[in-house]
Amino acid sequence: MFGGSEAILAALASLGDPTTIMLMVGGITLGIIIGILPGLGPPIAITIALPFTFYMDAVPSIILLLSIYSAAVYGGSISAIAVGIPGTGAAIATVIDGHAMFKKGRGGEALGLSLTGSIIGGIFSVICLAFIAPLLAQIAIKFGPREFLAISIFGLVVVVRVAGENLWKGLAIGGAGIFLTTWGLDEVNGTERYTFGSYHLYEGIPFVAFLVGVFALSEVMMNAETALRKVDFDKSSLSVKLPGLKTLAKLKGTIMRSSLLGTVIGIIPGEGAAVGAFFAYSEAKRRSKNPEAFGTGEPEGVIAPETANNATVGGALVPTLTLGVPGSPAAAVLLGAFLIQGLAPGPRLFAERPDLMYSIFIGLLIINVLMIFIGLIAIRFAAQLIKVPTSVIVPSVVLLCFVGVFSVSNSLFSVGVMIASGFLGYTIRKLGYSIAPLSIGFVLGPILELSLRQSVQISDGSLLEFFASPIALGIYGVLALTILWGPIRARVKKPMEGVDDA
Amino acid sequence: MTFFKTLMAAAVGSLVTFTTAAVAQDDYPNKPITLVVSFPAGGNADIIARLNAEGLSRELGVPVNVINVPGGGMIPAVMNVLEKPADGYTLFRWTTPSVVIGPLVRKAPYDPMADMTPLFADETVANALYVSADSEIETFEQFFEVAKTKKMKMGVNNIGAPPHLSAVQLGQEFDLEFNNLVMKTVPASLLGLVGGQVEVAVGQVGSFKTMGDEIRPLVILDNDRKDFYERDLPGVPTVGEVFPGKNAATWIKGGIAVKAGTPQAVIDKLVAASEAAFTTDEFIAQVNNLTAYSWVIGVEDTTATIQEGIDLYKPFLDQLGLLAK
Repeated sequence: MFGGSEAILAALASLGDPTTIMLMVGGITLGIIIGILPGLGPPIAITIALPFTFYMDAVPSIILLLSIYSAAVYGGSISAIAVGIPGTGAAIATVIDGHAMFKKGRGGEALGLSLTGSIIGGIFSVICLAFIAPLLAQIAIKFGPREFLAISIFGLVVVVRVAGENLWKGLAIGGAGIFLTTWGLDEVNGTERYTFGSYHLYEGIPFVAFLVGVFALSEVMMNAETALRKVDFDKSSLSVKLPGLKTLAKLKGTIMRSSLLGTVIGIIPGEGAAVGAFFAYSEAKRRSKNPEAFGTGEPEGVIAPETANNATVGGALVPTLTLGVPGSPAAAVLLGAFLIQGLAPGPRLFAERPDLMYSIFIGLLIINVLMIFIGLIAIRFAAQLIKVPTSVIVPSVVLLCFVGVFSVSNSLFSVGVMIASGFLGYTIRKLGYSIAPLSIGFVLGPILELSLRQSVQISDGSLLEFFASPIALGIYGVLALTILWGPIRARVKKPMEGVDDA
Repeated sequence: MTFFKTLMAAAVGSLVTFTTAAVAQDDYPNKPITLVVSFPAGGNADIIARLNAEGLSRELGVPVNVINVPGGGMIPAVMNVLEKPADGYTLFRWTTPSVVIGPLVRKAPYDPMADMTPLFADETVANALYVSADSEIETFEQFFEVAKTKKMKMGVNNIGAPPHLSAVQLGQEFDLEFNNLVMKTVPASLLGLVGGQVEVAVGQVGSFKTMGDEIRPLVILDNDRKDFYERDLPGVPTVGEVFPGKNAATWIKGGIAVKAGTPQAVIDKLVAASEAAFTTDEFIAQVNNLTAYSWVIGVEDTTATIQEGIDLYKPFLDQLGLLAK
């Protein structure tokens, strides 16, 4: 297809390198640990590791970050089940039935279901990625201003609708995110906007510093507020019981639907694991013969969100790799890693680095398989991890954030931006708003602005020209459908309050 | 006696001061050197800087560490160098945006000609005009005929960047108007050709290597032929060759500079080490893989080269209203 067997061999060779394998194992371990630690999610996990990739080759660095990403999405379920505290936003849906199962003494079973579901969802989405991405890359070359405009509008509208406590709050925060991206030199005619006379702001607000501040620092501040939790739980429940084939056969409908739902939601720009998990949970509940059992420890209520959230990983990589538009907040940070390597994700990446593409596809499969073993070991130590007091976690994470952000640009200004955006994120959360629209607005804002202005330039002032593209029309059509998809939204909306996507 | 003692002390003192100063320069370098790059790690600009660091380290016998200070219109990178002492332990990888265009279009807190001493230039890039490989336009003359009749959609990377300035110059010289679409990077401009978002685009002479048979070069946006044109774009004429008397020029170069005020002995040492390291066939071959090697050595000649760049771009930027006032 792209580069053929030669590229596959090159990919296998770089994946078989002992360093890459070590990075994979290390990345999965780190990802699970960060996932287990309450509050720290995939975007934080990836940003913490980002500076270490500076002097690595492209394949090992991307594989390291993908290991962390997949594992962090999974890891959150362990604390969700064992203590009822979601390790990540992606595991909030898992708490409901997972912890209920745990309290009933079926914790081992729940942990087994979440691990199995995560692996199946992960592998399913990688296979989809491997088939969809090359096809989309061929269409993606036709993506011009009008199509990118449609995509960014799509992503923003969907995030605002599902993640906000109410529509207006979501719109306001999403708008604030877009506003912040207008700072710096205007790309179209070079005007200085909100630079406040500081040359540091010419390139706008630094991306990584902002995301680390909003995700990691604000989360740590929220955590620091809570008094030291006293966690006590029955450790015997932490021995995993993997589901047998019979159980899986009974759940196969839910597993397949959740895998598909997660992958599709991952593909939608901006939506990540948390949204995927909620959709899958409510869909499983809606289709269930006894929906009233949900919330009391229903196995389907564990496997549905856990399958879906890992399925968003492969899905999120589809637009990230083919269009350069991040499919999830974590993928936005991943995009930064590509740029550090001098690689511009987009339709050309397939033609230029087929070996890298195959490394990503094959690497993700291996990561998911390794995750079974590392996950089984990690669960045994989860008890100790969950008991690590906030007073240890908070300073360690703050230190890693500072070091990481400083090393991206060797600039103290970026550290200042991180602190400021940390306070911004904290304030937004304290006011009861969700930070998901803020980060998505910040990620999609530049694409939205540039494509809007280019579209205006191309159209010579005619509004109809904006729709003179079949691809853009198709995207707007799907958007209209999702808006009309009210009933599911109504189910999802309530538990989604205050969810910060990952 | 007292007077004599004081005199002696002063003499000894000054002798000591003198010798330590001399020794400090004589044994330069005696600690690791830092090379500041204004681009993120991984790109061509960064790779060349790392080749520089390797070569200098070999010649000078101390480690030369590359640090990347990207963003901020390249001003933070320059300030990073200018805030350090002028002792030759902090070097700067200069490029067109940091020494020519940036200071012209922005209120930069530095003056490249007064605050920096350039040591050499080792790379050069030229622009070329491209269309999609399936375009009906096959020659520069045909392009000219089409462009006279309508405002063609022209892909450029950024406003004020050399490709855009080449497009502006082309428009002025041939009395054409373009609808300039900002595509952010040169590869994105060329990809716009393939996807049909733009009809014509300015890329670099070397861009053809990476885009292969999907794009078609029409003309090299330069007056005189340089030796690497035949290597990268065989058979493609320059503007000056097709329409003698019409003016087209690009000035995209890069090299290494130190902070102004660096002791002459240190500069001499660095220049000598650079000459030894960067005129080898091995280094030239490596640079030629990335862009094109064009060697100017010594403070005076390099300064004159940079001045040429400023003289070329200043009038354009002024006409475009982009000059910082």
